[in-house]
Amino acid sequence: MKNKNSLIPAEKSAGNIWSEKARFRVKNRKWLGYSSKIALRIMSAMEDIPGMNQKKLAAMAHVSPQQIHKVVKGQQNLTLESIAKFSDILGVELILFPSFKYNQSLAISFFVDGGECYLDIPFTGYMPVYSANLEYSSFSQLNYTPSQNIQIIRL
Amino acid sequence: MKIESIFANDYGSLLSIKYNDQIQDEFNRLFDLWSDTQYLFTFCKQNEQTIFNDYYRISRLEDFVDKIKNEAWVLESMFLDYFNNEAGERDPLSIFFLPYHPQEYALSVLQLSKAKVIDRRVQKPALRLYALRLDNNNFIITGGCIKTTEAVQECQYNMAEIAKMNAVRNRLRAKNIEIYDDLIYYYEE
Repeated sequence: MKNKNSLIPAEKSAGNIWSEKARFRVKNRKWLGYSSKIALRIMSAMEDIPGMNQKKLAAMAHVSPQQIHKVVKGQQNLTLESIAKFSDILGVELILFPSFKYNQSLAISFFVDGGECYLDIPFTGYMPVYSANLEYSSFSQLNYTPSQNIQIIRL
Repeated sequence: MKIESIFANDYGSLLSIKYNDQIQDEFNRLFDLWSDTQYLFTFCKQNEQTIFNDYYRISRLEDFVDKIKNEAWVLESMFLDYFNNEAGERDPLSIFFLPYHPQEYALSVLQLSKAKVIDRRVQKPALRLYALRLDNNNFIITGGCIKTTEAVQECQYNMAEIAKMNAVRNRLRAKNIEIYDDLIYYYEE
C-alpha cells in the first residue's frame, strides 16, 4: 500500500502543532481550569469598572497588554502574587479558599426554657463537652462550664 | 483552500481544511477556540437568549463555559488516544464520525459526517466537528461549532457549518476528488 504521507507532502506540521497543544491541554487540565475561572472573574470585574479594559488593566498591573490577553484566555499559570495584584486592582477576590477543619464551627444545641437553641463554637481541633447548665442574657454573653449531656452538631 | 494532514497512516487519516481567510486549519482552530475562556465568555454573552434553555438546563455563564471546556477536553482526548495508539490495528476513525443525516446507513462518497463527544458522563454534548468522508476511514474536517439549541435547524452556527461542508464537497467534486488517493491531484487554491 502506498505510504499515505507521500500523497500530501510536508503536511504533517498541522498535526504536530495540534498534538503538542492537545497533550499540553490534557496534561495540564487542572491548573488550566483554575486559570479559566480566574479569567472569568477578571473579565466580569472589568465590566463593572467604568473605563476599565485590558490595556488599562495591563498598565495598572505593570505588565504588557499581551500578558493580560493571555490571562483572559485562561491559559496563564498565574502566580499568587499576580492573582493578589489583580484582586487589589479590580477590587474583588479572585480566589477563595474552601472551609477546612480548622475554620469550621460547631453548633451546639441545647434546651433553654423548653426551646431548642444553637450556639456557634469555633472548632479548634479539640472538642470539649459543654454543660447544659448555661446562663445567658443574650447569645453573645453565654457562660458555660464543661460537663456532660450536650449534643454537639457540626455546621 | 488548503488541505492539512492531522494524522495519516495505513489505517486511516484525518485531514483538515485551512480556508484562505484563516491562519489555522479548522481542527487546530476549533480546539484552540474551545479552550479560550475569553472567546467562550463572549460567545455566552452573545447567545445567552438561546443557550440558557430547557435543553441544556444551564442558567449560569460559568457553568456553560465549564461544560464546553470539559467537552473539548474529552473530545480532544479521544483523538489524542487514537493518534498515540501506535500498537497494532486501530479501530477505524469512523467510530468517531457518523453520517450527518441519521437516515443514511450506507457509506457514500464525500458523505457529510459529524463527530461529537461519546461519553456517558457528558450529557447532551454541545460541540460538533463536521467532516467529509473520503473512502472508508479517511475524513476531512470542514469545520465545527457549539450547538446552542436542541434542533440543529434552529442553530445559526450549525447551519453555517453545514453550508461550509456542502461548499467544500462541491469544490472537491468539481476537481474530481472523491477518494483519498485523488488528493494527490489536489493543488492548493
